[in-house]
Amino acid sequence: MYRYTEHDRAFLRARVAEFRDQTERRLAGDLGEDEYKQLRLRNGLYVQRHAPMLRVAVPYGMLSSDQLRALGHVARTWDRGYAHVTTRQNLQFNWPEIGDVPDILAHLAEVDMHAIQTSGNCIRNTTTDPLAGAVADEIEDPRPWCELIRQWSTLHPEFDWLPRKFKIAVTGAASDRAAVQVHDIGLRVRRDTEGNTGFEVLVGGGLGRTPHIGQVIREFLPARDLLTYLAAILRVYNLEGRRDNLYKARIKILVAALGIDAFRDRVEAEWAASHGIDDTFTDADIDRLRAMFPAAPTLGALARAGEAGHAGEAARTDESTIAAALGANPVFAQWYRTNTRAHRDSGRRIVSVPLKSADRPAGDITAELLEAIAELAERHSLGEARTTHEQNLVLAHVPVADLVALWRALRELNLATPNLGLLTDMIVCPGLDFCSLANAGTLTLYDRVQARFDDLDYVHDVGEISVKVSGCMNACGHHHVGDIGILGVEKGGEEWYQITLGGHAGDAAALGRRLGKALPQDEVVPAIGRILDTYLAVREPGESFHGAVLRLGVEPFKETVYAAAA
Amino acid sequence: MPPPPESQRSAPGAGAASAPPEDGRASAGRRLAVGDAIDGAGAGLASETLADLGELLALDGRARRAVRGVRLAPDDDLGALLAELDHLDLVAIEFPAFTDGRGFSHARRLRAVHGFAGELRAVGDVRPDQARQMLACGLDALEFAEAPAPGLLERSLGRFPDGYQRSYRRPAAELRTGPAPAADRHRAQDAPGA
Repeated sequence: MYRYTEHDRAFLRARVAEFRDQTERRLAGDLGEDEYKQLRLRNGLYVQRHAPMLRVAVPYGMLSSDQLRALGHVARTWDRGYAHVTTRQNLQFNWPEIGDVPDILAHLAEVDMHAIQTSGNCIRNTTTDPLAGAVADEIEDPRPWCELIRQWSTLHPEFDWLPRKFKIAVTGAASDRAAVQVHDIGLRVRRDTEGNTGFEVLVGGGLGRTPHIGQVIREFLPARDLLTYLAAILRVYNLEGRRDNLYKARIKILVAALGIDAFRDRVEAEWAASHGIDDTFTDADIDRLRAMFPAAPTLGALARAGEAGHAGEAARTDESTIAAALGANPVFAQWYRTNTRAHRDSGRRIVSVPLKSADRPAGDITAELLEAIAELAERHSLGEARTTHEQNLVLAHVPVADLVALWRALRELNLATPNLGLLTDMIVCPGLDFCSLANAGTLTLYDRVQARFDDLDYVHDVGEISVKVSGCMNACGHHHVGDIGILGVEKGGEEWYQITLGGHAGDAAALGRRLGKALPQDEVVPAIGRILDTYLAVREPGESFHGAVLRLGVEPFKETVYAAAA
Repeated sequence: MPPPPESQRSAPGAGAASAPPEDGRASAGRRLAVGDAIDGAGAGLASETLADLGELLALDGRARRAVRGVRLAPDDDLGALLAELDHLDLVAIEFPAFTDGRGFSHARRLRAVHGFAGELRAVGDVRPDQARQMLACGLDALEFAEAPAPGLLERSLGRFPDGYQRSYRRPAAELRTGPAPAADRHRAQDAPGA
């Protein structure tokens, strides 16, 4: 993980002191509400339906055990004992008092955490692949680049008052788990023919009211030009992005209005004009960052035994250990198959910890669980955990030999539900229960789905599927890119739900197609049931839900849903 | 943020904060002082009396070249202003609302990209909590919408160590506090030659 320098710490302390000053001036009546609002938003503090909400940055989703414990302490001391994982890998506290926030931030600063730029019209937390540094399909670990962008964008003097919020996502892997096509800027690590690192740069993606898939502005940007090119894009957007209409202010609207070619011309002209002016970095700088994200020590039996000269024997030992456990315990085996993935080192597995089950609100995690995860991360995963876009946690470096012990510990904590990537592993925004923008009680819908589909065999039979629920058009639940997308809308003071099918957030991102007219709340879960039954009836052997909708379109599903409703 | 390479540090634009202007228009003695009258490059030019860019461009050659200060609105085309910079001592950049950040990029372009060495004055809805950002972007005179509370600017400008953006100016390092006489105009200026 990135380790703060004394400069980073001094900078963060100054930011906490600045925010304390701003908050005290507000509480004393010396700072107007309109101005304080903008200042507090830039430090992650919203005023929500019931109480303030503090969104803490989890830079590119990485948390150390110490940080998990500090978050647990905050939840217990200043909140109601829990926190919530967001779709942008951050953590939210829903019940702090405004006057306590400076103290919360001071506590978090002790473990190098903050809430800088987690809201407001500025550059937000950079997100990435939650499996970074652990998967085999990686071209290069994206996290040093994320950290470079984090530093460059932190309290950037020029880009703090943008037309609208600005989100950057980076992936270093062949397959995209960072949704780079639906970000304001998406970066894909690439290598040129001589092996030099660079980025494919996408711009103008985003969800919200007007969803757009990002377009390629540069096929290959040499890595050394990353920051200057980002600055050029941001400067063009800052000057030319619309400021007359909140809903047309994102960069996607500017890119769509100009067309990608004209937008590219402007960026390239700005980039040429500002050549040699804007911030850049040296090889030594990025090497220093890379050194902070070392590969996990190799445990693979083959690798280990190779050194000792007993390769075959050692490989058999490891394989037989796990094979015995898998054969002996079908519950463990199901968890292993569903919630763990191959690590680049055969001696480790990547373990996901879904935060979705019938007994807890989606993405919520209690202080006790934060501390328990801290402990497990220390014991089994090199002292780090990650948050994911799907609102789950990941222990990325678990030795194969530790899996049974870890599984038992997670079961004790009720964190071993084998539903990763399945029907009940939904993405759900906080909705009407917490958010002042929402039209719909998304958490109620989530509870109903959990209750209706509590048969794990059925859930496993349906297989891989993403159900994504947003309580309003702002699309925090990313419903546009769910296999089944559900959008809460308000009609005549009642909650209605618009269903879309065929959305996809992976490599070939696609926006879902609307199934038909909105449904009242009571009909949503039965409609999901009919959609799934239709899929089970029409699928070809081995065909996923995504594949079936691609092949058949939405018509067969539409018929069953609306025939029944009529 | 890592420091910029040598070539960048000596670039004329990035050096606006550190390289003394050659023609001496930006006097070295200006300081950041709440309520001080402006005594720098824009001396004697009150913001209200400045021509806007359209008015300036409508003048014929000789009259135009006699103009020393201009107002730049967020929508104005900076390209049209560039040919006029050599006879201007002051560009007043308008911030119609404190949430409208276009002026930051105008300032950055004028100071760092095009090397304008005269006074860049922020006018309009200018708030003290933005002073650090404005100075970093190359503005060097701030005309606040309301007088900042005593001590506020000194606190906020002196608080931060160097930021992560090394090619931007560093107000904390340049800050020298002057006397704060009572004045009807609430302006702050910093010292460019630190």
